[in-house]
Amino acid sequence: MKAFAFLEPASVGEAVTRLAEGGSARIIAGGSDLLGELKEGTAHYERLVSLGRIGSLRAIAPAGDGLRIGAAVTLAELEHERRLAGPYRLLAEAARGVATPEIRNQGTLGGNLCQRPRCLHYRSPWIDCLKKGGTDCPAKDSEHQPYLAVMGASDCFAAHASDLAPPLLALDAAVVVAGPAGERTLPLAEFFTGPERDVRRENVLGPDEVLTAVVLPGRAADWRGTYLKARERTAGDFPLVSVAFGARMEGGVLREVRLVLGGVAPVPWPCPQAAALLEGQAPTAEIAARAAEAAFESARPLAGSAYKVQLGRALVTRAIEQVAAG
Amino acid sequence: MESPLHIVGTDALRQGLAEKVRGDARYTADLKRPGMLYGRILRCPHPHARVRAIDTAAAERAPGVHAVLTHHDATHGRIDADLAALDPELRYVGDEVAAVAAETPAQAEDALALIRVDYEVLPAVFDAREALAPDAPAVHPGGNLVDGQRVIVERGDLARGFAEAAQVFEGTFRTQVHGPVGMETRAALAEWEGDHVTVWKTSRAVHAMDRPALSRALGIPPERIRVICTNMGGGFGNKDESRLASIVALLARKTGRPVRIEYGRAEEFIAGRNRQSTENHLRIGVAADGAPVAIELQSVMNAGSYVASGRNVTRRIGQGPVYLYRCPNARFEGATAYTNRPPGGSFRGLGAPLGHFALEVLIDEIAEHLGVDPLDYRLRYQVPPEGQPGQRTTPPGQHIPDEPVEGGVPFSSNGLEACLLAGAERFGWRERRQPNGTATGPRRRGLGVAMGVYKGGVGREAQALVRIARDGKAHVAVGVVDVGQGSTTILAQIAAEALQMPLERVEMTMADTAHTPPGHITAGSSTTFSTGNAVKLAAESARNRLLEHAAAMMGVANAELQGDRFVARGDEQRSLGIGEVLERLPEDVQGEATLVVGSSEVIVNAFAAHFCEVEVEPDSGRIRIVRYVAAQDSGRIVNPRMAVSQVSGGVLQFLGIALREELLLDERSGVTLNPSFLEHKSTAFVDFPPIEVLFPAGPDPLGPFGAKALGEPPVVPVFAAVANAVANAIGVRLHEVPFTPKRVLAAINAQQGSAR
Amino acid sequence: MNEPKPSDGTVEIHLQVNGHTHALRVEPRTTLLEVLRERLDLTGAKPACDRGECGACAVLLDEQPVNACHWLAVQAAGHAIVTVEGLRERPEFRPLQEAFVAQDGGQCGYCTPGFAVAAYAALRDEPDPNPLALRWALVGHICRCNAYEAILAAIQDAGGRMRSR
Repeated sequence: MKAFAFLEPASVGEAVTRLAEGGSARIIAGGSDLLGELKEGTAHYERLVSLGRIGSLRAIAPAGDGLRIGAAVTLAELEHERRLAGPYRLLAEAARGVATPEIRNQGTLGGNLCQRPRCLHYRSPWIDCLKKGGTDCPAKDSEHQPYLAVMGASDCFAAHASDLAPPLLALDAAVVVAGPAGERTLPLAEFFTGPERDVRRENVLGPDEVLTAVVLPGRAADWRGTYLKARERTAGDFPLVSVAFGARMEGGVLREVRLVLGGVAPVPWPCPQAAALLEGQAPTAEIAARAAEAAFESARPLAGSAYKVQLGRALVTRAIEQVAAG
Repeated sequence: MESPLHIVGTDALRQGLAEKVRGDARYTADLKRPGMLYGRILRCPHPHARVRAIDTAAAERAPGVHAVLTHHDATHGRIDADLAALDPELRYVGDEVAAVAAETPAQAEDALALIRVDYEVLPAVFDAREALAPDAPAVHPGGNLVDGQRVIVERGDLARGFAEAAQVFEGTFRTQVHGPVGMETRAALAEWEGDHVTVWKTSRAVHAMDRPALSRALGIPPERIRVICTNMGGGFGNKDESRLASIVALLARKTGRPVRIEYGRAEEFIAGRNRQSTENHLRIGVAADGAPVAIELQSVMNAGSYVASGRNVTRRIGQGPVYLYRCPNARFEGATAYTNRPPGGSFRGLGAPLGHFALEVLIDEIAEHLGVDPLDYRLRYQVPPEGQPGQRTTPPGQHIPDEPVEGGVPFSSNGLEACLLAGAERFGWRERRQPNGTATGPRRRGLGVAMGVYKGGVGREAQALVRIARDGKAHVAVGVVDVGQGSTTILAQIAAEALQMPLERVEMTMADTAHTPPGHITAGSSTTFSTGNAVKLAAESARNRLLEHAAAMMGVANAELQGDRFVARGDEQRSLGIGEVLERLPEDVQGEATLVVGSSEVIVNAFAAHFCEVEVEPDSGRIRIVRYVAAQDSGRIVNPRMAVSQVSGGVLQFLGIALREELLLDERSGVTLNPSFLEHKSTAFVDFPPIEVLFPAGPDPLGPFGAKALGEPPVVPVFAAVANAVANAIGVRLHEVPFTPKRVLAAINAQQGSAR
Repeated sequence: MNEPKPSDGTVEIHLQVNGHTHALRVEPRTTLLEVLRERLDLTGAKPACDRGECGACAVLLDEQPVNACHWLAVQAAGHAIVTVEGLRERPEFRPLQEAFVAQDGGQCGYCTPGFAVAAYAALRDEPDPNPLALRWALVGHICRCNAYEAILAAIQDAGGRMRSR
């Protein structure tokens, strides 16, 4: 790790000021992802601005008929949060599936959403790539890449690895961002951006902005979701493909259907067409298979990643079966 | 073996484990010496390059830096024929270019970035077959075929065998690179006193490997080098080379201060030694009745940039194909190729699991084709206790190799059939197995069987020193390293048994060149069999001397030990307590033994039969291991509890490799893509199935108290046992390890494609 | 390790370890593990992956297990750190130690202190865990000897010993 200064502001406002003071700076919350990057030398910042002393970012509070969750709430806290019940249980379950208990005691909600891709080429200190300011993507011809996008990618094929983003998108979450001009709230779906906009980042957060909270809107009490991920290890691993699926059963048909994929595109990937296909339908094996096809309709996998489409379809089918079975 | 055993065969507690739980046990990287500096290594970013010039001035001026070491400082001698401590020619991404010693680890790391290297980038080659082509870039002078020739061993007349065969089966089997990567990374600490140096290092042969290698690299005689290996955080056949220790000792000499370096995890994955990738083409001819009449294996092994023990790895690929089945005609041909991949080395089982993978899968395919239950096929054609057909070729009086080729020589003991029968019984093979590919549904169960043959523990020369002190303690000194497998406890049990003393009174000293007799390398699963025999002999000799002293004190010709008293033979009334005898000893009583264990009459081999049950999801390609039974013939088991741990651990380690673990190389750059536990997909605490371990075989006549090799044999059949179970579950044959979802789906798709 | 001189980017921190507060000057990039091992000579937490992937360096931070290799010392300041050297002074550690030895719950032993720290926390949170829950609680720990079966048996045994006290 190269040397850096470590700043510990006491408030969000001060954090924003610190970020804006010039030179390269980056927020550190738990640091589980960032420290990996600093150790590999894939990133370097002159100053790290810690959220560790800002108590308000650790709060979970009711917001309207939903919940507002501070960005520095740890994954372990999410996992054990009693209010993440009913429709929100999906989120607690997804948090429980992230990494390991030790990392969940460190990593935060905001950090999970802002994590950098797991693309092996991107993470290698020996290899330059578009995301690191290079001129070309060395990963796209590789036979050995578990973490490449199969859709929505051009130039850079690194897939988004967040386990919390797909369930949060399925819950129609919004995020609160603080910057020099104050706070703004935007739908989570608008938070993520792909390489076509800026290959060096995965979200719209400005250099002097802080993600401060995630807001979950109210959701019908009988809406249920599930989060499944295919990975090489049973635990402590990032998704090859993941699926957040949720719906409400009403008179034997699916309502308020949400389907979001992870690990398959440069951003978490909502599948509104596939969801629409299921809306108002009885969850038969046949319609589940059609939805799985539709979810991956735009897939254009590189040769080494074609299997992820097959894996993903199997996972979508399984998720639909699971929610339908209650 | 007549008298009953009291200590061998019991579940003695693993020595040192309490200290390990408490965090008290010190490993090499836990050690500090006064004034110690921290070292770090600069690694080459190119797969093949030559250093034109290297400018260390800025690094030397950096805060806290005491010295920068380059190839200009490493001019004494080579560690191996193909390996120098530091070399101006660099052969893989990660090869050692230079090293820094500084007051803090961060200062050393910062200084690395200040070293300016002018590299002449050379053409590189990563694929073994390409490397063997005539126009390939030469990784070393002399070409890429290691030793300039292939290893060839043969028995009988292969051409005649194939001519006689009613049918010939063949297949190409591939295995990929995977890392042993013990939890502890390689580490070394060196401290000079005048012209003597003490080196603490992770090791598996302080006497046999480290001291001579350091002597060459430092240009000083071995007598001035003391090598110590404290606790080892996992060996698995690895950590035998001395490059890191040489660099550390050179840095310590240059700075006049003790220096310590421990590898980071990525360094361990890249510059540590991994199992080489192989391609194995196997042909088996069978007679009309199904009996194998010709077996031929051709292998190409990718040794990476430095060969280390790669020759032995290649040779060991052939062991199973040449010897596991009774067959008059067999031939193995193996090529070992240098490439610009990170260096390979030894990892538990060497090439044996790779050759057995090919053999035991193809045999399964043959049995399926012939409509014979694969268990029955093995029971029928396994190598019998009397060995292979044919004529002995080893001259009379000479030791029979324990990686045998010739026929006409029996085994010292062969419990293969016992393993097959006991394992099948425990597993419920007869009751539960269905024909291949008949399972249905989203999750399909399947059962598989595979066997293995491996070295039985015949090592190189073994020595032991046993001293009975007047305080009643027995001090056993052996030069071998306990790499974490538990040989300290096992050798203490053997000593206590031979001495007829309680285990608590035996104290072990190991792996310190200053305080132990020379010891062989902890390799080939040989410690119990070889050093164990030396310990037994030395202990018996010490005990006999003690008996002589006791007899003399009593004024009789012979004495024997009964409980805690020495009794005059033939006169039960005359006796002396142990304490009295010890008190009156003129000096400590010592026994020594030096021997090369082996036999000129028989082959000493260990055997295994494994049974695996899997559940496969055909839509996701995911394999789950449901149950596993490992039946081992390792002769008498010295410590059943620890033996179960070692077998269970070995099987699990290889199930991880079978299903997931693979070190990936970016073929554009030569960069290792996944040098981390996470991305190498190490087995996690939720990934392990129950492993049932059986020891159905009896004692071996040559082993100490009947014991044979245990460390490696359990890993040999694992890949094939899994692959055969998968074939049973979904009717698809896997020919490449690891069996990742990607490969399983590809195999399923390929079969469906060909069926259409 | 030599004390770095001030004015070179170091900061002073107060680190509470095993009940004692240490005033230390550290560079912000220094990990908690390096401070524990090289400055305080507490070598029970082992360096193994340097990425928070294996648990060999587990310590308790405010009584919760974390990977000391993947925390900056400056992040850990203000929290109570307990290493295995501190934990073993607690009465509940004794049954854990006894059970690991009795069940042969370790081979080379390098991962063992980390497992012990996490097992302590797991058994405190759930004194009578089912084996599957225990596996998930310890999933952050890798043992390359693959002594997993014996480790699991040891922790279950330790739970029994603790409950019977």
